[in-house]
Amino acid sequence: MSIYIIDKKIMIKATWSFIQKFSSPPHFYRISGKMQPWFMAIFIGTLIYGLIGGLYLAPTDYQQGDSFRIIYVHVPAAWMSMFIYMVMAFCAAVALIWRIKLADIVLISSAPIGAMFTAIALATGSIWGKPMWGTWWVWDARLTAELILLFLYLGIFALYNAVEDKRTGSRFVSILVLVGVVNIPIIHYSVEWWATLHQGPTVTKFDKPSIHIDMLIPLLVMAISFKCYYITTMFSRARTELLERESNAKWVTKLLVPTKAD
Amino acid sequence: MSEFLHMGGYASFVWSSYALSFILMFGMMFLSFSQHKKKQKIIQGRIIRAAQQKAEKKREEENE
Repeated sequence: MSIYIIDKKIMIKATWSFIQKFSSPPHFYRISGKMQPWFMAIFIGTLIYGLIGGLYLAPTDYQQGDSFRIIYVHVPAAWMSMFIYMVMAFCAAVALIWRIKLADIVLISSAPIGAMFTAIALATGSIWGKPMWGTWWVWDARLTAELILLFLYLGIFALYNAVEDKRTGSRFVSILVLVGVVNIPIIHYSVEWWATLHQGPTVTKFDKPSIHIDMLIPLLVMAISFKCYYITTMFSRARTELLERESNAKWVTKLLVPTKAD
Repeated sequence: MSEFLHMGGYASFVWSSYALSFILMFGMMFLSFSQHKKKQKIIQGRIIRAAQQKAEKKREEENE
């Protein structure tokens, strides 16, 4: 029994030290730099495969004709807009509870990318809506909730830049992000809760996806591609932010000017 | 090929969606890369300058 308890303590300690080590700025800076080219390669590879599959190989939709091919940028971008927000919410919780510096940095580095994907989802949705619904925009639940998400992203970025002290700014931002989480299930379920022009879920439901497999595979490949894009770009932004915040730390000197390290 | 580009009459909608998405995505990516490079240079310069100032101060103190 006592051995078991000691084991558990050691386990917790080991896990905690692993988390601390991985989230330490120099470690993250090094590892992310090493991993970045791999994610870039997967991004480009899956992008080419997804584009060929989506634009050329996938059969034409019997209702929407070739206009349905907008799905291969619209849907992955919309998924990313929510996925990135959930990553940010997770980081906000971690930053508030455990005060892990890296969480703040990943959060704020993700915000512009999330805003961009939200803008892409809205714009491509609008371009798709014109030939299919006959209008660029309607104030229905799905579209309005996604627009609110865009404003949330912009608000997060503005708030962070408005506060002089980065640490205080990060705390405000974390709280705003956690409050805004309520919007994510609203976006997801909006097409079921309210009567809307937007079509219902075709992939993310418990039932079998209501989409042909040759259409589905490029969509999932594009989703993987966009996730790798996010990781590549976020790493770059996070590393910039780390350098800025840690510019006085020894590891930065050692890294950038090895001769002046002492 | 021209049939492919024509996209069943939806060419302008399909291609503008793709163009817009990829201009934004690659723009954001290259902006992030170049910001990182720029930041590296700025901090590098800052560290070297600080070290030079420190050395200068030391020399002045020795002269006095």
